[in-house]
Formats: sequence, C-alpha cells, structure tokens
Amino acid sequence: MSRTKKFVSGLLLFGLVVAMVCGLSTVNAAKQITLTVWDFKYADPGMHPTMVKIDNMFMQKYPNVKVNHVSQPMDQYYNLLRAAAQANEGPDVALLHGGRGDVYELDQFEVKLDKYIKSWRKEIPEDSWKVAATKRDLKNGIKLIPMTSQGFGFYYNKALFKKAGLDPNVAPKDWNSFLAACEKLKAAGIVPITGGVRDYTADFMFRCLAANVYGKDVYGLQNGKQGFASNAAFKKAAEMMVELKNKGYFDPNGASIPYFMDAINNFAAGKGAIFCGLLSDVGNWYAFGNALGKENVGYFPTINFPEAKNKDMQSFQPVGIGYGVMTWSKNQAMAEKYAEFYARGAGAQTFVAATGALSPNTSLDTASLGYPVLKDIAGYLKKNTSEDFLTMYIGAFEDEFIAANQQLIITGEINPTKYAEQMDKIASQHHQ
Amino acid sequence: MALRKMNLQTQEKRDAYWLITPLMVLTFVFILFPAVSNFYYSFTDWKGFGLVNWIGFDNFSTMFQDERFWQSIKNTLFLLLFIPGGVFIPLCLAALLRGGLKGWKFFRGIIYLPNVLGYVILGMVFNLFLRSNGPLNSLLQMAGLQTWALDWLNRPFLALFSLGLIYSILMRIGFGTIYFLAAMGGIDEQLYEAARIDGAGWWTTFWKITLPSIRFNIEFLVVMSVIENVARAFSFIYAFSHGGPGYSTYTLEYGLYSLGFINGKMGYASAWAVVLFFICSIIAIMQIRLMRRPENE
Amino acid sequence: MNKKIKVTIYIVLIFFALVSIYPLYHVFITSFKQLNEYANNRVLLPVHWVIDNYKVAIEQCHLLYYFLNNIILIPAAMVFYLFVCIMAGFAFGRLRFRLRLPLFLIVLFLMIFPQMLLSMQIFQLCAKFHLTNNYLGVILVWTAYFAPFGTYIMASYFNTLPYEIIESGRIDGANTWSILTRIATPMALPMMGILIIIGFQSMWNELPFSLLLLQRMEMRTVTIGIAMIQGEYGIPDTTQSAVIMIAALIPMLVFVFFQKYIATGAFSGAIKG
Repeated sequence: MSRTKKFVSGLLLFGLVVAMVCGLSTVNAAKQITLTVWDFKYADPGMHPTMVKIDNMFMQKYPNVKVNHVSQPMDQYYNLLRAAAQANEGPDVALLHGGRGDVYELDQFEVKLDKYIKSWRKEIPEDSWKVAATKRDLKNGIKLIPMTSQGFGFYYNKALFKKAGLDPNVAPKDWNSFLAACEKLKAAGIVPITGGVRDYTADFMFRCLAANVYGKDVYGLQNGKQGFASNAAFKKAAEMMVELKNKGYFDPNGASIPYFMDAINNFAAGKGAIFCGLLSDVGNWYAFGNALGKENVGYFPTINFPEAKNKDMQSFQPVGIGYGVMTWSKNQAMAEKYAEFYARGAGAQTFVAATGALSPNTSLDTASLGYPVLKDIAGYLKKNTSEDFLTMYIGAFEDEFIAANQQLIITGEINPTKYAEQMDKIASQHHQ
Repeated sequence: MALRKMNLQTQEKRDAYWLITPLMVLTFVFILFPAVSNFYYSFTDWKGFGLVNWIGFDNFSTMFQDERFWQSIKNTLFLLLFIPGGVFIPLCLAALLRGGLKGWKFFRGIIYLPNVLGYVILGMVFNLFLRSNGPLNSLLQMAGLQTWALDWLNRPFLALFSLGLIYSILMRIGFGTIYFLAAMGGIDEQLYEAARIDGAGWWTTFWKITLPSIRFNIEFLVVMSVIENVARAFSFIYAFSHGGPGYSTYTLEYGLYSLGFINGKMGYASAWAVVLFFICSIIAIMQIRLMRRPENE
Repeated sequence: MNKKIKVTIYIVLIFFALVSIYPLYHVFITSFKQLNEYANNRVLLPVHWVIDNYKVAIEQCHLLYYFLNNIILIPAAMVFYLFVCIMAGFAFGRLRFRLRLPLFLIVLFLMIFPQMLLSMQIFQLCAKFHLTNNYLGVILVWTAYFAPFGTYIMASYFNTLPYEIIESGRIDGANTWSILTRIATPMALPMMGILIIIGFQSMWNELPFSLLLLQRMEMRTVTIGIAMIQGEYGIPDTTQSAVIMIAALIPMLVFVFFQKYIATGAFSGAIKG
C-alpha cells in the first residue's frame, strides 16, 4: 500500500513540475487586443527602427491594441507558417511575398480581403491586386495588401566610372559595352561587379537577364510554352554569366560575401562599380543615393544582347511584400486595419520615406524625395516590364536555383547547356 | 520462505513495469510513432498541412531519379572515409600518453572544448573561419603560403573535404583520446610487464596488447562516429555550409530538412526518411549487437 | 619514452589544441571589432576595442529572453529527464522481469533516429495536443528523445552495483521504491553528475524540435536564437561573433565547472557499456 502511495507521490511531483511549467507558459490573459505579427524583415537593421515607429503610430491610433511584432528568419519563414497552419494557431497578421507559391498554397488560411479594400481599391493598380490574389486569379480572392512593388536592376557608381575613363552618363546596357566597361574598370584597379556571388547577385542578375529573354511571354513558363534548355537566349544568358566570371569581373571575394547586407554595404561604400540591386526596401536607389550621393548613382534594368527578343525590359514584381490576415486570428477586423496601415496613408508614407520602398499605392509620393535616378527607374517601369520569372514557381524554386547558379558560376561543375537542362528539371518540380 | 521469495519476485516484476512506464510511453509516442508514420506519408503528396492524397510509389520513383538523392548518398559515404582517421589518431595519442606526459591536463581541457560548444556554434565558427577572405586564408597569406589559401567553402571537393576533416576528425580528437585513455587504464599492467620481459617493442605492444584489450571501445567509437555522421550531422551542416555549394555537402538528413521543411514537400521527404530509417536501423542493430556482447554484459 | 617521441607528441597536441581554440579565439577578437575595422583586419587584435556588438546582440537579438527561456526550460526538463532515466535505468539494470531484454533492445534501437526524421510528425502530434508554443511540449519531446541514452548509461551503471546490497535491502523488507531512492540512487550520485552534463549539453544544443515547437519569440531558446541569426538578413559578422560568444559562455562555464568528471575519465567511462 505504502509502495503505491510512494509511486503516486512520485508521479504527483512530476505533475507539479509539469503544471508549473504549463502555468508559466499560459499566463497573461490580456484585456486589450494583442495583434501578433510575423515578419521576415523586422530584424533588418535598415527596416527595424521604421517598423517600430509605424507600429507605435498604429498603437496610438488604436490605443486598445498591442502589436507583438515577431521576427522570423527568412529561410524558415514559410516552414513556420505551414506549421502554424497545421496547428491552426499562429500570427494574426503575416508578412507575405507577392506571387510566391508558398503564399498561394496557404490560400485556405488567408482571409479574403476583397470586401475590406473595396472603398479604396483604386489607389493600387489592378496588376498588383491580381498578384495579391491566389494564383493571380482575382476569383480566388485577394489575400494580402501590397506594401511594395519590387524589381531588380543594375546600379553603377558614376564616380568610379569617371575614374576609369568611362562616360558616367552612358549606362553600359548592351552586352558589348558592358564587357568593355568591366574591362576598363578592371584595368583601372576597380572591382567591376561587386556582390554576393554565392547567393543573390547571380540570382538577381539572372532575373534581370530573364526579363529580356522572356519579356511578356514569361507566363509561358507556367504552362510549359516556354522553357530553359529550349531557349537559346537563356542559354546565352548563362554563357554570359560564366564569361563575366572567367574574365574576373566579379569581386574576387564575392563568393564569400553574403549579399544581404555585406555585398550591399560594399557597393554603398564604393568598393565596386556595378551592382545588381533591388528597387525597393533595401539595396536600392535610396540606400545607394544616400551613401554615394544622389547624383552619383546610375541605373539600367538589364543587359541587352542580340539573342534575346526584348530590350531594356525591367524585371518586376507588382507586389513585393504585403501583410495578409490569417483565418485563425480572433481579431481579424483589427488585423485588416493593421495590414492596411502599412500600405496606405500615414503608415505607408512613413515606410516609403524612411526606406525608399517602392509602393504600388499611387496616392503616395516618392518623386518629392528628390533622387534623380528614381526618374530613370520610373521611366523603365512605365515603358516595359516583365514579371519576375522566379514568381512563376513555388518559393522553394529559389533554393534549387541558387544551388544551380553555384554549380554554374562558383564551382564550375556544370556548363551552360547542362545548367539550362537542370533549370528545366527544377522547374518541373516546382510548378505553382 | 519460498513463498515469500516468489511473492517478492512478482512484486519486483510489477514494480519494474511501473518504473519503465514513463520512458516507454514517451519513446513510443515521440520516437517510434513518428518514425513509423513516415512510411505512410511516403506514399502521399502531403505538404505538411491540409489534404493527404495517396499517390503510390511515385515519391520513390522520383527519388531514385533525383540526382540530389544519389549525391547525398555519395557525400555520406565520402564522409564515412574520415572515420578511421577520427578513431586511429586518438588511439595512437592515447597509447603514447598512457605513460603520462607533463602538461597533458592542460591540453586535455583545450582539445575537449569542441565537445561542449554544440554543433550550431561550431558550424558557425568554422564557417566564419574558412571563408575565402577569412582568418585562415589571411594567416596562410601572412605565412607566405598564398598557394594554400584556397576557397575552402566554394569548391565542391574542398567543402566536403573540410566538412569531413573538421566534423569527423578534428572535433573528435579530444573525446576519443580521453575515452581511449580511460579504457587503457583498465588494461592489466602485467600484460605489459610480460611483453617487456619478452623484449617486445612499442609497436608490437601496441598491436598485440593495447589494441586487442580495448577492442570493444574501438568498435564502440567507430559505431558512434558512424551515427554522428549519418544521423547527427544536420545542425553542423546547417550552420557550416547549408548543404552547398550546389549540393556538395548535401546529406540525406539535410535533404529531409530542405525538401520537407523548406520546400514543403513532406510526402516526398518522407520517402527519403524511409531510406534513412533503414540505414539507421542497420547501424542501430550493429550497435546493439556490439553492446550486447557477453563480455560487455 | 625518448625525447624525439615526446617532442612529436607535444607538436601534435599543440596542433590539435590550436585547431580547437583558435577559431573560437578569432570569433572572440572579432566580436570586439568595429565592422569597418573587421573588413581590413581579420586576424590581428582590434585596434579599437568596442562592446557595441554585444549591445546590439543583446538588444536586437533578444538574447536575454532566450537565456531566460533556457533557465526555465532546461532545469524543468532536467528533473523530468533524471526521473525517467533513473527509474528506467534501475529497472533495466537491476530488476528481473520477462520483457526486460526485448524492451531494452527497443530502447537502444530508438536511440539512433535523427531529429530531422521525427520532427515533422512530432510537430503534428504536438499540434494535436496543443503542445506547440508550450514549454511542456518541448520538455516532453526532449525527454523522450534524450532519455534512451541516459537510461542506457544508468542501466549499465546500476548493473555494476554489487547485487548483495540490493538483496540485503530487500531481505530487510524494503520495497523496490525505497531500494531505489535510499540505496541505489545515493550510490549512483557520481553517475548522475555525468547524466546531468550529458543531458544539459544535449538540451542546450538541441535545434530541430525547439525550432518547430517554439515559434513565439518570447519562448525561443539560445540555440534557436543563434541559428536564426544566420537566416536573418543583415546581421554583420561582428555582431554574429558577439552572439556566438554570448551563446558559448554558459556551455563553457559548465565545462569548466564539471571538468573533474572529464578529468577522471569517468565521463567517457560512462559511455563504455
């Protein structure tokens, strides 16, 4: 009898520990609303202070709300979101990528926002709303409110161009002039192309080149009407990348530098002449204009080469990022207001002004910021855009794409022909 | 008296089952069940959430055509080649240190250090250390060895080689040496005495007395190293090289993470998990047979 | 031993000592450099020692939160773990029952599976029982995953205890529970020290389970925190180094504190079988 007692008391001790731990983890039943926001940008030193500021503005506007902004690592982000979906509990609001397959796959857990945005829908172009709807089909419902548009292009340092004897006002946007510029820069002891070649520099450059390769036909990648190995221009693009590497135009340390933020900082510090950067958020005209001087930054969207059908095509994402509301949220109404706050009005204006984000919201003013290069960019955006080819696939495509780029450019394991074949194989596994 | 003894024995049995209940429940729920349910999901297109569709052997046929799969098998086999080094070097060191050495205590503390830090920290440390513009290459250049300053993490062979060298040899020297020293402490001194009288040299003694006496410990460390390589390397690879460049440090375990968690193809990743399950089972059986040998009872 | 061999051993030992200490030393000095100094000075001591990296690491990377979580989680899990390992280890090592061998073999078998192989299913299970974002979930999973090895160690140890002592306890009329708590456990105290180190190291460094199960920032552990630094945009190497140093501090302290176990070789002896 006493034995059983002791067993029981032992187990009770167990239970006590367990209960204590449980209790600790489920305290604070709040009276006010707590909005939990998941974000992969929040820890970025360039973004963090601004986002804190906007959150405070939001909490001032709605005093009964407490924003709990949680930074999640980008490489784990959709993994964690899928896990949250499975548990059917998680953030109220989640930052999402426009046009990304992972976002479309989570469709059933994202609140339809069509009704909510109805009154001010006109402020944002329909192209952007379309991408914000699952599988680019407005019938499926709008699932996020676009905060930014995004794109990729080449920035160059005019002072360094001058130093190398190049005309700073002529962008080297044809393949031959690009090569000639690199050669001259190299001869002058300047690193021609800075970047993090191991990850995103190669990635973004391919996306810029692909804009010329596929142009408006880029959607053909989704239904198999377009491909990689079957496209001579794409193969040529791969050859061009290898040529740049073989001629030593990339930063010799480029393979060891992460693109975010080291490579970006290198270009901003004037450690190289050409850089494949972004249009919005970070590594963009705003950051480089501030670091190198507003007048000192040149821009061209892509490299023109004869094999490609298109010229001067701007690689573009109608929606870069935007907040979506999750179905399990108990405060959906407030969550929607939060998502709007970053995309429209005072919050959005603060965001744009502080980070140089490119907002799709036409009511916001960026021109008054006074960056001459922005005029060039706006011109290319108006002229001809090709939707970023990467967004034709599910998000995991990029991991495989980067691995293939490494094999092509860094390790040299595969040649351009094999590379294009591999891209087809990867594509076949990652259709949306 | 006999009755009391029998009573005691049944009592003992019942108590024993009580005592092992927490362990058995926990392991069955959190290890056995998850490991086995991978078999079911390997026949589905499960994404980690939502609907589960039965798709038969599709995942397996995709897997056998997947270069990443064969590459990860190759990489794992290559990493296994480092294990003899990771066992033999500590063995020799221990044999040499058996007689004692001034300052050993000091060295023991230092070379054991990697074992306490954990794989995430170690992976990050060595990643910083081996970058082409990192400290190792700076040191080599300062020493005038420019030709040795290689791009360690960006050449497929070098990256895999560095991984093997660091993970399977350099990080294991400390534990191995201490482990073997402890084991050698248990060898009967008279054996050595007899060998000395017979006029046997150091090598002969090493081969004829030391090695056979601690055969179990050697085998045990080999099996443990195999486990560390096949089933515990994820955290290190994750922090050290992320499976890259390309797929040159991709392993089955890393593939599970990349395909299942990052790509969201849990069904397909489960097929990889099934293969890994069988490989692990073989190793586990080896290990159990070793532990269960009569002399180790 | 002749002189030549001695010198060779010293050289070999110095080499391995350098390999294990130098990379960490590099991280240490880097953590006190400014970012632009680090760009030009990788190897030498910092010209200007700064502690800004630590400030950023602690403030922006929420390291204090993570430490707090470890302080809550690890002792709680440790109590649980010790209970499970000692009880089961005693049963397997010292008691006679029919299923002893098959069950023990199953436990040994379950030791091997990598965390990656289990984590998605474990997550599903925990989600079903509302154990995600809950310390209890991690404690249960950690105990389940690490206890088989601990049980094995304890079983081997209890197995070496002289049988007479336990028999004599039994003849005195003590029941199994009091034999375990009054006789066997006190005798196993040195082994428990080792069990604690092994458990501590395993839990402190565990990544895959806690990463999935603890998604709220306020609940993360130190190891998740540092692993995330790599996945996050824009954390420079110098800050990363500071984070590594902070995270390495506690394991190193534990190491210094418990060094006597390693010194006596008892630690490795525990894994002998």
